[in-house]
Amino acid sequence: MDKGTILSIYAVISGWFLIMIALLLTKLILSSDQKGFLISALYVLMGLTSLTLALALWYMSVKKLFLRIKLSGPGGT
Amino acid sequence: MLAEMTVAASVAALISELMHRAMVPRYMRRGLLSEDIHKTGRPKVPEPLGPAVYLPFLIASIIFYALTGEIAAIAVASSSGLAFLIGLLDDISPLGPETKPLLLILPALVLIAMYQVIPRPYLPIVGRARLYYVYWPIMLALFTVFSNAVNMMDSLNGMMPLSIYASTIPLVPVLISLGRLDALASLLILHSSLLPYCIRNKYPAKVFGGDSNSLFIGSALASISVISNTEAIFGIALIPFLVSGFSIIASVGGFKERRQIGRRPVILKDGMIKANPDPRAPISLIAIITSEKWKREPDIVREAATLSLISGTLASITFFLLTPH
Repeated sequence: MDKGTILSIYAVISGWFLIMIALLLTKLILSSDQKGFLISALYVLMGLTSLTLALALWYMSVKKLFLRIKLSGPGGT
Repeated sequence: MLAEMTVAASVAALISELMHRAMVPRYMRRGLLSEDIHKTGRPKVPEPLGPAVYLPFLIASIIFYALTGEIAAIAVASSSGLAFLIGLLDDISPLGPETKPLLLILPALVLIAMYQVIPRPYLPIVGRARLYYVYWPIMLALFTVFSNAVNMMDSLNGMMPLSIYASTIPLVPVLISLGRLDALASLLILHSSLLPYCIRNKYPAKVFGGDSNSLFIGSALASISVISNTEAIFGIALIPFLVSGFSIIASVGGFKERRQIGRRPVILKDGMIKANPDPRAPISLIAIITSEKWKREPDIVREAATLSLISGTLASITFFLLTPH
């Protein structure tokens, strides 16, 4: 199993982990006290913002590893 | 309902096989061919074979409805039919990179118009949520995300259909446990319609589906997930598709047509594929898989299908162990 294969598995597993973290956060938000529509909307906005940030972090980590492997790989057939 | 499902799925596979046999020679005679750019000599292959996959799906869905009275099958076929038409339009005359994602929202409206949407998705960890306000924009986005993700996965011989099977077959127990046999029927009809195409599209490809095929399949999966409230579970199963689509969009800075992207994600040499060594080249799933070594096309496809099987299994496990229901 080469580094490219391992990176692709990492991308999938970390993507799944990211979704689970975002849903855990959603669960915490939903279980907290909600006072009216505006507060609920704010909670949803917070949830979506954290998901976007987590997605950005995931992309940056995959990109960094991808470039490191790509630029240092053997390159031969 | 098992007998009706078997009949509809068998009819779908049979009609799809007959249509492939009839359409491929006609496409060859009329010169409806596209280059297989990943092969030496760039052989020409008939495209688009999307109608040979969608029309059997539509006919089998109508038969299933006639046998059982389940309107959900018709709703899925109508909704994904619109995506098929958008894809066919794109095959005939390419749509703009911004227009296509917007148009792919329309199939969701068909599903809403047919009263098949209940905004109560099963979410892992959370359970069955009531999302009466935020559900609708997310659901509209889901259609365009799934359709485009499947479309972007359709880049190597057999990669898309094999990955679709690998990621969605593990979801069959999920739909059975929820008692959503209507959604299961649509999924099995989709698998059957896709089978003759999959056999011909695997390396070395004898046919290409075009956007009419990939957008239809993405939209059909979105419809099936929405009617069964398993959007998140299908989302997990399709992670390799989403990784591929998101990485390309993020690395090129938005929706762009292939010809608008200056640098290719991969380079070719003697039928072998490797990630483009240019640090500014876009990132794709194929580039990630080939980031270290040169690989043959069928090996990359096998790895992508294995990844899809991992994500499909992960989705099924997530539903049974981490989703309160």
